[in-house]
This record gives sequence, structure tokens and C-alpha cells, in this order.
Amino acid sequence: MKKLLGLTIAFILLTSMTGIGTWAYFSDVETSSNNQMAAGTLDLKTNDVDGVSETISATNMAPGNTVGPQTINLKNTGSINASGLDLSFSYIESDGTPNVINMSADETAAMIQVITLNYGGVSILDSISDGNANAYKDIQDLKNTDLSGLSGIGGSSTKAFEIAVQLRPETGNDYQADGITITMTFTLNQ
Amino acid sequence: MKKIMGLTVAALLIMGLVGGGTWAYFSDTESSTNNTFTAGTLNLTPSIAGTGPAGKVTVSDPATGDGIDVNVAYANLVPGDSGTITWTLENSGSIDGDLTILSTVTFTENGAGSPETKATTPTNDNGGNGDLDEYIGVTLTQKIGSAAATYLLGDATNKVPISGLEAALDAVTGGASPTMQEDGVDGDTIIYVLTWEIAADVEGAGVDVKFGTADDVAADDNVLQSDTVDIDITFTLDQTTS
Repeated sequence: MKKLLGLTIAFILLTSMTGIGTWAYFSDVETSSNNQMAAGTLDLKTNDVDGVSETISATNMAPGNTVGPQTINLKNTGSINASGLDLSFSYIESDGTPNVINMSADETAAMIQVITLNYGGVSILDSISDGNANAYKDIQDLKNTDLSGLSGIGGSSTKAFEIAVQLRPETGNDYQADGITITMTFTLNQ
Repeated sequence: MKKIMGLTVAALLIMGLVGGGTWAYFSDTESSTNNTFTAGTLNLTPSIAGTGPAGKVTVSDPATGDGIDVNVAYANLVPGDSGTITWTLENSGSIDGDLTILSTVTFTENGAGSPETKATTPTNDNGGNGDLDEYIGVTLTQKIGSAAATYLLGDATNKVPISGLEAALDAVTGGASPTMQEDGVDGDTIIYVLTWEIAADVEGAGVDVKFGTADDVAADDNVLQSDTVDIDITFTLDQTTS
């Protein structure tokens, strides 16, 4: 009797041990979610658009005529503060007709004096070097001056750029019908 | 008469002998008390730290604790930025565990502004999921207890694109699961460090290695504008089997 009982007990124990199925075991779970790296933005708009034209234009200018000041609003529509602005000017010859005596673009540019050049409410005329040594600051001087590294524009901020020019009063008849088309380039840097 | 009496006496005697009742005998008693069964504990405690450019780093508050979703977020990143994220995991329980990591790393373009669309080398969103996957260079190290840290991604001289981060984290499983010792034993703490920078030193096919260096072209860098990468990690500590 005892022996049979002993065997039965042993058998029951064995069965419960081999029925593996899902064991419960200890575990702990922790999370680190929403780690993020996000790049900022830096986007320059001129008068709220990408690139403008005919900011300052005049035809049929006579000696002594003044044009402007015209303003371009330079806005950093991005999230990053820009540390610096680069200004550069270039021009190409763009004459009217009849152009009896053709003056070069550089010669024409030298007769157009820059009388106002403001950035962020501050005059930057003094930054222009009189490279052609004609005793005044002109468009040719503007083209040849390195105007990089001006103050920057903060994120979502605007600075105004203003320019006014005058055709020098002493401009001679040789310049009749001569003209230039100027491109102003603004580069905003991180 | 005599025979009957004899039988009766005999019967009485037999009955007296058979009535066992309580015998006195020697005995001694001992006890085994305070047999207690106490379950051990297995408790993973995470904490996080983050470094990066001033004003751009947000570390979750609190940065440590059970059941706390710890994280680090960076905003307004620009080419040249760099930083680190450190996950410190501690087994503050009384039994050893095996650590498994499961992660999801997601890259997003977030719309292309005009500077992004003007880029030509490379073009914006070249892989179709934003550009940070290629242009954030990373290393990932694992340090178990007092042992030296080992590299899971990148190495001492080279960072690799962060596009490989998810696979490297998810490889911490199975045979590669490190054991976290019980609290108080060397190896009860494992530290993971992600060192990142926006591509000054990245090796890999198709990556512009000039990013962030002195001769890089600013227009190329613009492809990163507004892009994001999201990193979600689940750490699981399981009771050590075998």
C-alpha cells in the first residue's frame, strides 16, 4: 500500500514540473522616448518674397537727378539667428538708343553717386571705399568694395536696406543714353 | 470448580497484558522555525543626461526614476553643432538581469523651404526621409560596470551616419544581451553614450564629407533645414535565465 502511494505522489510531482507552458519570470521595462534632434531654419526674404526686382530704377535721368531712397525689407523668416549679412553689387551695361557715344558700364557707374546707403537704420556709406578716387562714393566703388560680414538678422526679425543715388551734376553729353542694370545680392549667414 | 477458576484467572491475566494503554518512553522534540520565502527584486532605473550647443538642449525633468520616460531634445540645430546623449541604466534590484534594447529611429523632412530647394549638391531629401539620417555622424558606446567602454557604432576615429543607430541599438539582444548584476555588485550599471555631430567627420557611401568643415559649401548644408530625427528606446531587464 505504502509503495503504491509513494509512486503516485512522485508521478504527480513530475507532471507538474514538466508542464512548462509560459513561465512567469521577473522583468522590468523602462522607456526613453521622444528624444529628438531638430534642425533649425534660416530663410531670407526680400519684401516677403524670394528675390525682388526694380527696387531702384530710373530712365531718362538728367544730370543732378536723384532716385530714391528705395527700401528693401530684409527678413530672416527662419528660427535661427543669422550672425552676418553679405552685400554685393554687380552691374551690366544697358544702354538706350540712340547711343551716339558709348560709355562703358564702369564709366557710367562712376557717374552715379551713392547718396544714401542704410542697413538696419544705420548708414554704411563710410564702408564704401573710393576706389576710383573721384572724391565721391559711386556705384563702381560700391561694386568693388567688400561689404561682407555686416551685422546679422535675428530669427523672425527684419532689417531695412535703403539706397538712393544721384546722377552727378557734371555728367557730360557723352553719357547720353548710356545706362547700367544693377544686381544687388544679399546673403544671410548662420 | 478449580478448573473454572483457573481459566478465569488466566483470562484476567491475558486481558491485563493486552490492554497496552500509554507506555512511558524517552523522546526529544526539536523545531525548525522561521522558514521564510522572500522573492528577490529586479528593478531597472534609467537616467539621462544631454550635452549640446547652449540654449538648444532640453533634458526631461526629472531625468531619473522608475517609470519615468526620460529624454533629451535638441532644437534649432545647425551645421557644426555637436553633443552627447547618455543613458545610465541601473539594476537597483537584488537579482541579476539580462538587458535588451528595442528602438525606433524616425527621420522626417518637414517640408522644404526655399534654401533647401536651391541646393544642388546634394539635392534636398535625397533619400526620401529628410537628410539628417545621412548628415548626423555618431558613435555609440556601451560601458558595463567598471569595464572599459566598447563601440557599438563607429569607432574612436570615425563617426558613421545616424541611419545605422536603430540596428545598433536593437542588436543588444539575445546572445549580445549584457548581464546587469544585482545592486551593489560591479556591473549593476550599464551606460550608453551617443556622441553626435552634424557631419564634420562622417565616413560612408554617399555622404558629403565636407559638411561642417572649413571648405564646405553653405548651399549644400541647407538640405538639413527643418529636418528632424526622433529616437524612441525601450530598455527591458529580464531575470537571467540559466
